Amino acid sequence: MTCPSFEALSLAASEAAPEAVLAHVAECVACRKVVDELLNLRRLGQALPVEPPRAASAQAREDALIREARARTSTRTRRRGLWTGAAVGAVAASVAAVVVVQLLPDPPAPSIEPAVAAHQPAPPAPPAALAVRPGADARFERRAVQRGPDAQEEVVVLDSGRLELDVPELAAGHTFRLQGGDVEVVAAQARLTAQAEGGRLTRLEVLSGQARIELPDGAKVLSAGEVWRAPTGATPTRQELAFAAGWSALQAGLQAEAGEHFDDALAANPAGPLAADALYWGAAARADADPEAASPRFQRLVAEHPADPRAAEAALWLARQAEARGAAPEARRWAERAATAEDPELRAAARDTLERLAP
Amino acid sequence: MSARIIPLAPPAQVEERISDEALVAACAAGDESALRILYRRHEAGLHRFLTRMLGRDAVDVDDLVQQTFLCAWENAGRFRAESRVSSWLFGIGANLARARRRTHLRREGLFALFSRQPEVPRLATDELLAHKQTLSHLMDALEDLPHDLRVAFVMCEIEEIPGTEAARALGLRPGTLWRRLHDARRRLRAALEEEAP
Repeated sequence: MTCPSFEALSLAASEAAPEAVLAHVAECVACRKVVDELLNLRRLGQALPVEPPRAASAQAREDALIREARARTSTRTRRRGLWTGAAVGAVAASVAAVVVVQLLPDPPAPSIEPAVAAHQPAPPAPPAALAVRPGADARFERRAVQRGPDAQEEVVVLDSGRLELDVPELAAGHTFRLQGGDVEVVAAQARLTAQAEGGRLTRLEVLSGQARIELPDGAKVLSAGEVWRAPTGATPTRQELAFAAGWSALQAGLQAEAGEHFDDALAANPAGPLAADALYWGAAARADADPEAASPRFQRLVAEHPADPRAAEAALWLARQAEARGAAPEARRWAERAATAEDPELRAAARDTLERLAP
Repeated sequence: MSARIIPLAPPAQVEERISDEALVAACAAGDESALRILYRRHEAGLHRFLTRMLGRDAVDVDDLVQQTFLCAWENAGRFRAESRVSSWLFGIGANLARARRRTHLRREGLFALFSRQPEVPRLATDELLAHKQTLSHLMDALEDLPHDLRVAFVMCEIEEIPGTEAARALGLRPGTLWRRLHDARRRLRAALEEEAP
């Protein structure tokens, strides 16, 4: 048998080797040597000295973490952290904060039992009596959350469209909550219609009973016949919301999910103020895992937003991809484009690429 | 949120019983004590992982650990339990380390880092010193790896996270992760061979 490739031997040193490769390795001295070297590499890697965190200041570090976590929650704002270097507009930043707010509920007082108990893996089925009648365009999610041995909450998260809800008289310890962005509605024994757009509740009408609507700036109780409407102008656009969702997913390392959100943001308004951002980040989110999907997005950024400061960065990425494919003329074209960058590092990297590609 | 509040410090045995996944869910609900437990459980592992990711640039690892936990705190609601919580934290930490390294590269000059020569003595007579020298070479070689390859090696080889799980934590296809791991191994092996006496 011909000796397997290095990749196959590398798999043999991991958990995913085919039987035939293992059988070969057992017989072949040369291949066995390669696998042994790879296993030794692992042992050496694990033997690299690492200084553990300082025990003396452990409590101080923990306290500092909690203080910062509390500050971030209580101020209901977020820092960009990982991606601060990006040139994303102020609009997107403010929207990101808005969306994040909707993801984070109010912090309860320090306790462990209730919140942990609230997230047991298999919550019991929701009370059957709640009736949810979605309109044709409704996008929503319904889930039950166990809040304790006798306490259960049913949550409906309305993303878009119209829902009609019949909330029955709830058993003791049971509650119902409707969420739509940073607006929450709590009700029992009431009939409601709710409308949302772009993940945000825009209208609530109480047909019977009462409902308490909790808004970022306070709460109010609506009685039968009353209607609440989101203030116009304060509602982020669908593009802004989708972009912010992408941003948040990217921060969490969920590149694939982020890419889809950025695509949504672009599709929502291809000529909108966040179009270049959505193109760039939609590509960047995919650049590692799916370069074939990233490539047309970077190309579009260069073509449609040539003045965007990230167009040169995109061009350099495209040059390197083309170079790796052996497409030298294409790589040169992209590198020449990247060499016009304002950023001196980018320019230098583009020039290096051009030198490598020189015939 | 309308969770009932029981002002009770968690006894140790309760703390031990709570799964990592439940703690993350509690973090999503804003429970600070869950964050504390998560931090105590995973600080050392994350510190070790990030130290190896950053290599000799491993200054302010404590700060990076804290940033990782804060990012996890803010995004706990997005955790889908597709990988272990520790792998998820490593994935977040790896992203932050990448950003940190980019900043560092900009500061130091893009290529200065790669032209650095090993500072260890080249002649070693006893076995222990030779081993230390090999480790030093490996650390250099690991530092010279592109970020993505280093993450693959540190997660899969040093931390022994199964490939498919590491791929999920990093948002990659398993094939992509394997390719990176193969490439990392190939480069590290070559680097050690070059340095061998």
